Order: sequence, then structure tokens, then C-alpha cells
Amino acid sequence: MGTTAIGGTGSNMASLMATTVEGLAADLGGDVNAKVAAMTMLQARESRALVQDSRRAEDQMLTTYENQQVMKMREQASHIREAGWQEGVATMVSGGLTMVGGACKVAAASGALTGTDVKTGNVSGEAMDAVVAGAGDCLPGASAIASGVGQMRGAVERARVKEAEADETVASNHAAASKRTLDTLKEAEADSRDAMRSAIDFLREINQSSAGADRAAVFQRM
Amino acid sequence: MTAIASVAGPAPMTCTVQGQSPSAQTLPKLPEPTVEGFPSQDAMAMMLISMEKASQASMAQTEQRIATARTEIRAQLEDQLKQVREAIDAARKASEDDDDDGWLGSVVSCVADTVGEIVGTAADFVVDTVTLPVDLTVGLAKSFEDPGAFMRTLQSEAQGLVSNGDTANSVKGFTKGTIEFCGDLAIGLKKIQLALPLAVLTGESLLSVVKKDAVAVWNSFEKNILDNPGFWDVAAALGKAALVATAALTGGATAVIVIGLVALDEVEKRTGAVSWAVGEVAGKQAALWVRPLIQAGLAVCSAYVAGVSNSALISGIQGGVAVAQGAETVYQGYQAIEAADRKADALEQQAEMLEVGQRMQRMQRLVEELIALLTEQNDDQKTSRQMGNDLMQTHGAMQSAALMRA
Repeated sequence: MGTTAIGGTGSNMASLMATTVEGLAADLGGDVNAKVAAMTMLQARESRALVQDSRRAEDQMLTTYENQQVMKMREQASHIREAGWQEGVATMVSGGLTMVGGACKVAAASGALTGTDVKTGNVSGEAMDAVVAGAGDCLPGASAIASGVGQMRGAVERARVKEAEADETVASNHAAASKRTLDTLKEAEADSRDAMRSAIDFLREINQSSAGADRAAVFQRM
Repeated sequence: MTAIASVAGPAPMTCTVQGQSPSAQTLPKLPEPTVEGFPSQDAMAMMLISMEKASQASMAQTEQRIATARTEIRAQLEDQLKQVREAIDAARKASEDDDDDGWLGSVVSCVADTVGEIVGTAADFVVDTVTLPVDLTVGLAKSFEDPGAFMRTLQSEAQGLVSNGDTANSVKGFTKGTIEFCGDLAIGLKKIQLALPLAVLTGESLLSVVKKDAVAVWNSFEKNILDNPGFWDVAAALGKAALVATAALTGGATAVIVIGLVALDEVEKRTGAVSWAVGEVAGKQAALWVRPLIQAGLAVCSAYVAGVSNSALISGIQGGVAVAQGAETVYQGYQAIEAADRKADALEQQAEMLEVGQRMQRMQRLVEELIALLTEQNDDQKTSRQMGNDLMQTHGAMQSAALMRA
């Protein structure tokens, strides 16, 4: 089937036929009826070959659309994962900053409660407490910024997820349309085959009638 | 004879499956139609025999292709079933992970449940007692003109006093979760304490011993604290209480404003009375702004109070609540990553299954095509025979007619 399901299939009978009306008509008897049958058969054969080519092409298209559908689903999954990571990491950073802010507040408060007078270089314990308390007030703001950045980046990824979802739906619709076209082409191919068979039946009946007439003529001569 | 022998069979047909080399799937050529060895020297008979042989060989080849395609379909089906089996195994394993902690864990859980129920009920009663007058007043004001609604409000509030509500559930969740986690932590530490010397004696890896119990403690923390909404409800209430306490200690107008805003927020959340009252006075559009304005006011006051407060105790409580809330946020981020990974994995699995299904459909189409070809070849063969018969009959009839004439 090459890359498609349909391919390399065809009747051996048709492949044995001559390619011109005259040649085929000569093979079939050479009279007017043979010519009519030959024309019908060749027309049916050409039509069938055309339909088979169309089917192969459509099958190739179907395969392409199906592959695209799967690819878009994988793309969606990738963007979902990316969005989750962007938002999750930002939320974790935000939570971490909130925790540090809270810890600063607790540290500052405990320093004030116990009256600790720790000297850190030239900075007095009270000044250190004030710095830590200030950090405790500032960090929630930084936490909110981190959360906002994460949500923004997550929103971008979610938009990409939606785009991939839309592309997947388009590919799915195209694949469904291709399947419908394949069904139609299958029917058209069956019609061509029937036409070819009708030509053969027609020729058989004509030949039988002719043979009967010949026999009758021979007997009449007696 | 020469003309017949030169008739070649159809071109070699190929059946290539995606992912496999074409050479592996190329079927052998049809045999050359030969009439050698046939006793008859009649050209017509030999032609018919040759056609019959070519037709049979072609059919055999088609049958072989169908068999190959069916084998491929079977392989694809097994592939799909394997994936389904893996998904089922993963789900089963996930459900088996939730194992219990033995009888001690059950006892702790039972005690936590009972204590949580009692404390929750008590807290709910206290809250109901405090909020009943407010709720009753608001309810009666809303249904003042309707005697039926008036009675229903009275009945509902009285019922609320003797039955457990959201507060009871939150406090129960908080108490139960905290006790269970403390119990699991104690059990885990004890297990580690006992297992470590044993591991030293037996030469077992210390990390693996600690890891198992540490994972159990983490699972308990996850279940009883991080995933426990009751715990966080109570933590938020503690934060609000700390704010009120700070404002009260600050004194002056700020205290009145903060306490008033907190009270308004609670009343609005419980009854929607503030929105209703504003809606009655200033219209429905104005009522929509009530909640955002209260929240904004609370945020501003909270920042102001935190700045001016000198109370170390209150700051400490606020800091502690912030640490807890930060931890919850970190966990939420972790959960978001996990959820996204799960969703992405599921989608990828779905994509793989779809791909396998599509490949199977392709193979199915090929099989249908080959069966149709086989049917057609069968018809061709039948037609050839009929035409041969007709030809022979005509030939015989003509000969007999000629003989009779002679």
C-alpha cells in the first residue's frame, strides 16, 4: 500500500486488455458490436483507473490528516504541561516568598518580644528588626508579582493549547471528509467495474446470438 | 505457443506497513504462465488453461496479502490492548498506594474524629450564638411583609442553632487533620527511631529505612493539612482574628473601621444583607460594588494596621498565618504541576491510542480492498470459464453442424 492503504490493487483481467479501441475490438471479434463493447470497456477502464488514482490520493490525504490530528494532540499535551509548569513554578515561588515574608514578620516580632539586642556589624538589633519587618511587608508584594507573571505565562501557553485544539479539530474534520470522499470513490469504482462487466456480458450475448444464427444458417443450408 | 508463453503476470504487488521496510513486505512475483507438460496440443485449450493458471496464481497472491494484513491488524490490536492494560495497571497501583497505618493509626484516626466532632460542634454553637441575632434581624427585615417567610426565617434560624453548619465542618476538619497528622508524625518518628539501629545491625540502607516512613509522614501531611480545606478555613479565620486584634490594640478610628469592615464582610458573606440593603437604597448596580469595596477596604486597612501596629504578638500570629498560607500556596503550585502532567500524560496516551486505532483502520481498509479484489478476481475467473465454455460449445456446435452437412 505504499504509505496508503489503497494501492497496487487491480484486476488482472483489465491489465491483459489492449490499450486502443481498434486493438481491443480486433481482439473481441472485429465487428461493430465488438467495437461498441471495446469502447465501453476502455471508457470504463479509464474511468476506473482515474477513480483508483483519486482513491490513492485521497487515502494519502486521509493518512496525512490523521497524522496531523495525532501530532496536534501531542502538541496540546506539550503546551498543557508547559502551562502547568509555568503556573505551578510561579505559584510555588509566590508561596515561598509569602512564607519568607511571614517568617520575617515572626522573626521581627520575636526579636521585639524578647528584647533581643543582637549586634550585626554597625546595625543595632532594633534596626535589624525593622529591616526584617520591612522585608516581611515587601515580600507579599513580590509574591503577588511572581504569581501574576506565572499566570500571564500560563495564559499564553493555554492560548497555544486552544490553538492546537482548534487545529486538531480541523484535521479531524478533514479526515472525516476524506473518509466520506473515499466511500464515494469506492462506489464510483464499483460503477466502473459494473460497466466493464456489462460490456463483457453484452459481447457474450451478441456472440451467442451470432453463433446461434450461424448454426441455424448451417442447418438451413443442409 | 509462443504467444501464450509470452503473456506475463501482473506487476508485483506490494503491501507496505508503516514502520516496516518495504522489502520485508514485498510479495513474490506471479509465476510465468506456462503450458509445458500439458498433453493437449490444442491452442484454445492451452489458452484456457493458461488463463486459469494465471487467475489462480493471482488469487493465491491476494489471499497471501490478506493473511499478511490480518497479521498486521492482530499485532496492532495487541499493541492497543497492551496500552489499555498498562493504563488499568497504573490506575490499580494508584488505588493500592492508599494503604492504612495499622491499628495505632486507626485509633488515632478514631480519636481525632471524635475530638473533631466535639470541638466542631462546640465552635459551631458558639458561632451560631454570636451570629444568630444578626442573622435573625436580617432575615426578619427581609421578610417583614410576608408572614409565611417570617415564620420560615424564625424556624430556619432556630434549626440552625441546634444543627451543625459550615463552621462545625471546618473546625472538625482542622482539629481532626491536626490530631491525625501529629499522631502520624509521632508514629513515623518512633518507627524511624526503632528502625535505624536495626538497619545498622542488619546492614540495610539507612536511606531506604528513613525514606519509607518519611514518605508516610509526608502523605499524612498532604492528606491532613495540605489537602484539608477545614484547616485552611480555620487558618484564614485566625488571620482575620489577628487583624481584628491588631486593629483593636491600635485603637482609635482605625480600630472601629477595621472591626466594622470585618463585621460587614462576615454579614455580607453569611446573609448578603449589605448588598440587599444597598440595592434597596441605591439600586442593583450599586449593590454589585459592595463586596469588592469591602474587600479593598479590608486590604488597605490590613496594610495600614500592619504598618502602625507595635504588637509583636499580633505580628507573630500574622507571620505564622502567612507562613502557613505560603506553604499552602507552594503546595498548590506543586499540585498544579502534577495535575498538568497528569492531563498531558492522559492526552498523550489518548493520542497514542488514536494513532494505533488509525493504523488499524488503514489495515482494515487494505483488507477490505484485498477482499474486494479477490471477489473480483473470482468473478473474472468465472467469466473466463464461461467464455471458454461458450467458445468451446460454439466451436463444437459448428464442427458438428459441418459434419452433419457433410
